Amino acid sequence: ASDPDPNASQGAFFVPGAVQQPIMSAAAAQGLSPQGYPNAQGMHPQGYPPPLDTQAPAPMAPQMADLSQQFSQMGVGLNPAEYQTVLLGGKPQLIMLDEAPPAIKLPANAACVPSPYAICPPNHQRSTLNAIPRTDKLLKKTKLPFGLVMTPFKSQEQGEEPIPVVSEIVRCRRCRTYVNPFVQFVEGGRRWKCNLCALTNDVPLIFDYDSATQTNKNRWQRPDLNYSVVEFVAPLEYMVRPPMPPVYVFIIDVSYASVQLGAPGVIGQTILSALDRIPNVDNRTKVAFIAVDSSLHYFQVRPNSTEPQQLVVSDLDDIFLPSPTDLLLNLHECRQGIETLLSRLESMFKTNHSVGNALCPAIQAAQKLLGTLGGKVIVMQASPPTIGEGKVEPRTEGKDLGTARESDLLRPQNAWYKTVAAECSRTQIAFDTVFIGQQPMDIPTVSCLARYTGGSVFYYPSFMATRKPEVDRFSQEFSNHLSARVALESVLRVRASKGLRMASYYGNFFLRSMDLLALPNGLPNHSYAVDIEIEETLTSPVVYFQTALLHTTAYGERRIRVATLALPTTENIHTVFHHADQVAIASLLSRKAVDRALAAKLEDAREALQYKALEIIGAFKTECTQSSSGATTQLQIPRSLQLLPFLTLASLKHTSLRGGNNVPSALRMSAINSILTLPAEQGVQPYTVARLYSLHDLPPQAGYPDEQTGITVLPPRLSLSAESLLPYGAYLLHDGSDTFLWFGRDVNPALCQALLNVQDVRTIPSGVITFPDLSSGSSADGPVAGFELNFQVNNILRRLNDLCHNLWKPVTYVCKEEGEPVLRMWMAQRLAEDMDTSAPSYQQFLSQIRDKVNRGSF
Amino acid sequence: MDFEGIEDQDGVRCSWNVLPNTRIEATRSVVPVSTLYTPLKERPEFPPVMYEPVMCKAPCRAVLNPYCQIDVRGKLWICPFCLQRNQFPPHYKDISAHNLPPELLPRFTTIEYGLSRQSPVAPVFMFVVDICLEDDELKALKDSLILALSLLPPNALVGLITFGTMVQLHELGYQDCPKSYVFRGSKDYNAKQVQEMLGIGSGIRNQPGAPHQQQNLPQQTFGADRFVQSVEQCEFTLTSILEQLQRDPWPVANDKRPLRSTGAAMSVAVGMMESAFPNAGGRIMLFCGGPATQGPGMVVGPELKEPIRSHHDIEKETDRYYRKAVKFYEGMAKRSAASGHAIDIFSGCLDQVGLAEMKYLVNWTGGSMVLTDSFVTAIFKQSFQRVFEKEEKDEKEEPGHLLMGFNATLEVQTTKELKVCGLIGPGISANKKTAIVSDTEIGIGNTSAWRLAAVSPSTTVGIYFEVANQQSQALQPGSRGLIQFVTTYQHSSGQYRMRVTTIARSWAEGSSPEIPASFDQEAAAVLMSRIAVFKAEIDETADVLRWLDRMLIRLCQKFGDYRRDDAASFRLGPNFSIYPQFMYHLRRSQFLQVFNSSPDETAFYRHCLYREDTSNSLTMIQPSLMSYGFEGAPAPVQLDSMSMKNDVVLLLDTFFHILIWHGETIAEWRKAGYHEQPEYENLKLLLEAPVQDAQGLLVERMPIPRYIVCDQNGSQARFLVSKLNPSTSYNSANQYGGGEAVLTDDVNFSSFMSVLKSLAVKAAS
Ligand SMILES: [Zn+2]
Ligand SMILES: [Zn+2]
Repeated sequence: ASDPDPNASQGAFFVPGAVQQPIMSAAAAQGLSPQGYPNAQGMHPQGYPPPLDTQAPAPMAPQMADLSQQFSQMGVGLNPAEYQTVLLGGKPQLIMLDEAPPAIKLPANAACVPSPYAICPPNHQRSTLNAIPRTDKLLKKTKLPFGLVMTPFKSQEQGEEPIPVVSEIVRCRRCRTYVNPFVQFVEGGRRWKCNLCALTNDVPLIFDYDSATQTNKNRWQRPDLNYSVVEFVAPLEYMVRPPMPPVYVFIIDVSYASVQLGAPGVIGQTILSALDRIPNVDNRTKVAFIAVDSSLHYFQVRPNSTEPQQLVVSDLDDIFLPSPTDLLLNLHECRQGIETLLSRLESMFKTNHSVGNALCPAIQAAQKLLGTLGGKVIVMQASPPTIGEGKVEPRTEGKDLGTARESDLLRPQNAWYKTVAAECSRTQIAFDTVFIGQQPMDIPTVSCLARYTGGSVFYYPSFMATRKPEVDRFSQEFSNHLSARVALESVLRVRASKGLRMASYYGNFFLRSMDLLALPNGLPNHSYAVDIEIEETLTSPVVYFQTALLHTTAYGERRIRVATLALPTTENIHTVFHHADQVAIASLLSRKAVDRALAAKLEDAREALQYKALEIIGAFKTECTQSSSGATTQLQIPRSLQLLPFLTLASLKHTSLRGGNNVPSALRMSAINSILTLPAEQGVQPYTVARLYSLHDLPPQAGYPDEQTGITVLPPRLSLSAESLLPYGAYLLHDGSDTFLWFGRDVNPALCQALLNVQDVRTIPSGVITFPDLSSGSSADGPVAGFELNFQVNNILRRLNDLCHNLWKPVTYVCKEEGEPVLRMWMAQRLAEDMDTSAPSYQQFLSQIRDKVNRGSF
Repeated sequence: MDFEGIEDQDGVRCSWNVLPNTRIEATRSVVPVSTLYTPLKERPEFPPVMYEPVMCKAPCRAVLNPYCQIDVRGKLWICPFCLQRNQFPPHYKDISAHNLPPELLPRFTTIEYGLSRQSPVAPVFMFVVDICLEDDELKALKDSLILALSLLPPNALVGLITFGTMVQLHELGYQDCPKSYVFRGSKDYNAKQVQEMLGIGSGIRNQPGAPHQQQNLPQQTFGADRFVQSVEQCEFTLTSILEQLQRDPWPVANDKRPLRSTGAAMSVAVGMMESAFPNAGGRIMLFCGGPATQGPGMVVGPELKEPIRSHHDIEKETDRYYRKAVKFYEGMAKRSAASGHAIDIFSGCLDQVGLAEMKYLVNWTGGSMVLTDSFVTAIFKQSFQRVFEKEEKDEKEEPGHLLMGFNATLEVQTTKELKVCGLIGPGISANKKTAIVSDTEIGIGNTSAWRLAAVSPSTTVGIYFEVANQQSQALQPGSRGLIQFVTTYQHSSGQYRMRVTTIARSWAEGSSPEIPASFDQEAAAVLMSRIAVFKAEIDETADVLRWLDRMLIRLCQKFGDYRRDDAASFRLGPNFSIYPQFMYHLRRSQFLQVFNSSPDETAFYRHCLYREDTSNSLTMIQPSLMSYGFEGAPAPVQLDSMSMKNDVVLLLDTFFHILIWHGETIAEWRKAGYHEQPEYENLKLLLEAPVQDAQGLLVERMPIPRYIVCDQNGSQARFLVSKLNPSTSYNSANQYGGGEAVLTDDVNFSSFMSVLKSLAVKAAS
């Protein structure tokens, strides 16, 4: 295909395996040791001239141009057959889910410093397409969705380098883009050219000279020129007021429903034991507690007092605070009183018989309490709000589940919560909503609080203070949540190269303008997705996305986290398909689907999701295969999208979208919220596609640390089908938030003994258990003889939990082959390859796709 | 007649003790047939009888008394009020002329029955405490409240409301931490709202959606016992709450008064009490250190530049808040009185707190009003403690009960020639419209029964009657008019009691000398003062004064001895001789001449006059003055500037003030220290005698009077001077004698008398 664009030669790409040259890719970057940086000399023998020695020509121009020319020629002979695969008859290759996304292949001169960190790590920002079609026409031809999945405040994980911090901010005069590894230095390094808008800006003196120490600096070592993700320390101009401290207001349901569950006591104990985990480095953190039944119970603690005072306000007509002071408590100064309060929460309300719930007044009170300070309001509900403007009417859902009316149940029944959330967002107040127990609480309505303020939704339907595993789950998860380093009073702005437009966003936020998301409390584990449109033909070989999260750290520092993603453009449809990121696509498509379910109908959402998969496969067949029309017996698909049909099927069977009439709307709503907020890496796997392992034939090294990496070795995963479950086997299924232990009827008693220290399968308790640690708490030292299996499985569980960033503390359901039908059903729902009442089996699904593609009528 | 002897036996003082037998004659007698009655007058020698009274058939319900005709053989008695025959109850079967039950014996014209009915709850004391106070004031008040807990009987129930910007009702039965219910100070909460917000009362259990188990749970979980508990149960908790009480935390700008929500606090207190303890004895004790500045019943705005209303503002109706506030507190007072709870107000403030607006809270419920400058003062501390005075311990040495009755109803019965016009005293109408109710209203009329939510042994009411007998209907010679007072009340032991006083007064022809001979001028003066003050609450002062003058002139015309148009010939009999003096002093008193007092002071003075007995009331009207000199025993002297002699010590008792005044010479000697020298022991004794007498007066009085010691010409002496008859004022011709010139434009007594005489002797027009 001839290229009319004179710049096209710069925009061609590498073919896998064809390139021996140093390239920059996420995959490559992962292999590089940090010590290698910054080693500009190693890659460029003559090095860069010192910036102030300005006689030299522009640093990289000649050689880089050469290189890119060579590369472009290699791309011409791309052979479709090399990246295609056929699907029918095989099992989904789940192992691909653990692979890195398709490499981002930039021209070698794309970055101003050849740093291995210039490529944005996918867990910060991930595009559905790692090669961008230059025209909207081409994009439409592929039918592929184009969008970004971002985790703007991703926390540092074990083994990860900290994000470099930069203290001087340099931005483009016109488009306000932050200096990043992809700017170009021109005019002998005196000016820099913005990679988003092409304006040339003066290079500030500080790049090369430190006026404080009066020494020269090497600008090429600047982190913002080397790293795709950096954090700038914001100067005063970025503050409208002094940075706010972390503030937590706990609104705790203490009504009869909550007391029956034993929730107040558990909540009190959980917060009590998490007090030291709440970010409070400089003793500025504030907390407040409002207990809610048909009245509001405030707790006043005077600094250094050991006793709280309970102030009950039952007049909820228009909200007032019962005291001007000592309700918003300095966690450090009021520590003793707070501890007393939390430890007595249970006994204070154990005889409470009040049946109302004044959440709405409590929220108004919290707003008053926080004033202009802002903060996080954690709403813990065990009953529906019954008082105030936003009270909810009971909805009976039974007969509507599985019908066209089901989606109505997912929509808020009033606008109060959304309105309040919008208001709160402006004053930097965010909400987390925690729902406990099985009372209908109208989660779709109440969770709007979290949805529009960037908060989280938690749901513990089977919580009872008497069930230890449930209490552990709640306490651990809630405690982890409280310990999160939140990004306070933050806003997220997404910039992109000319020709690209952010169309719509998905996630929990309040959209202040088309490119500005308000997140009063940015959470490390929250991700956001955005649809991108190509408005104008993209003329440059590389396009850029830059996200900037302006926020206040828990340490009271104003910072901007900037992530710059550079992606190559192409005119070649094969290249587009070849570099499609199926995990990002699945993540984006599932978000779009649940969004549609909320806005329109569940059925529409399911159909749209299926149709999209069909369309893509159809487009590929038409545009990229020999048999572009006409029937085939096989189903051809690019290797990069090999899992697309399976991921689509898994999404359709997931609680968030599953058909049929047995998903209560509370459960569905909480699942939808997870889909909308989880990063692609966890949302797709394990949340949508669970991991299944057999335990009766664990390889010897499984559950023990890998000799090289020290990371626990996981056993090979099994396909998600009942066919994997043998009568003499024992299995572990993990979807992040829940764990299932499945036992066949003929399982070996020795295994039962080694795993759970019970005689045989009949003596294994059914239902929820706490998975025992039979190494008597010394699991780090090694297994106890006879209980090696237990040791291994404990380690495997820990590893799986690590993979989910400790977001969850799953409870373990014991499910026996001949056990309780409900448990068997729950487990079966996670076996996504199998047919069930709501969806076909994987093979059936593939045949359906093939037939429809063959007919060309979808 | 031995009026005081009668008073000692029955607690009754009548204006007339022989009654003019027709309506016309009674009207001509000017002072209405009326009685001052002290229902709980202490009668230690007559303990209550422990059985139920025998009563006449309904609707009469008069109680068997010594004036009933009895037929011991027929076991019958005839009710003197309705003339019905009644069978004695079976257990009276052994009655005989020699074996009569006490209620038929002549010395038991007053008898108290201990009824079998017992109040289900002990008396309730709800403290309503202002916390917009300076720290020392709050500290003193807290100390007094904590002390009060030790003065209350252990089973008495107590509760605590504090108020400032907000109103807080403290929960006492809560173990986990101090807990209180907070109400907006700017809002008027009705009883239903208070009930719902506190989760008390019966309604709460039947809430829709309430879990069923609730029915099986103990009643107390839903009741007010979380807020009100017996002293023995909550003393520790309440003491610790009181100790930790801090002044209102809401910020107050320099140019503002603190936001004080007295009205809202009272709505919560009254709402709580009427929901939880209807018709059970109780007192709401309000302690305020300043005026209400927000919400219902506010007295003045929070801006300091806005002055608090004066009598002038009230009269001209220029105050924005006064009428509204009065209306609000009247409503509160009615509700509280209707459910049987008294309200006391203790004010500790140099300025006014709004007693003028809140007076009905006290006056309609039988509570006490104590006006002091500060809670630090002894006047406050001792007056407050005096509320909790106890009965003498009985023979069994059990702790004495509080000297107060609760939730009382006073009913009056008369024989048909008399009708009831009304009551003036600390209560409200019980709306009992019987045949004996007159169309003429004096005080609280249109009823023959009144409710007195609290009664102390000194509580005295004035009850006014009308002679209904027409000229034509002759009365049988020797017949008597009977009045029966029946007071049912909750004794502080919880027992219900009934005090029955039956008096009989002979009828006489209008011209009979027996009538003037039976005139009790002291009682009459007090009864007329009550009418005048009651009128003054509604009418203009000038009208009231004119009315008083007219009544005095007519009385003198009717009962004076004179020749027509000859003022010099005018004489009054001994029964009437000092009556004009009382009227003279009443006219000049703070009860009617209000412009030298603040509206709060006026409300306080009038409150005291409405409830005190004859003797105390007379002291208020015409203060007593004792003179102590070297010659002779101490003696009462004229309340006249003539009495201010250089070589005497005076002891003035105005009821509200007790003042010792040293004549110039005495003061000089004292300053020179003569009294410390043995040879001048008589001076020492002279100085000590009035002090001892003053102590004697201080012991009994509630509220404690202000005690002043001053010297002639000292600044404090003005309290004495203002009370004296200005017989030696600078414009008086009377310059001889040893008196001191009194700087006043008031007419002196002798001028007053000459005018009175000259008017009295003129032919009635
Ligand atoms: Zn720019
Ligand atoms: Zn009778």
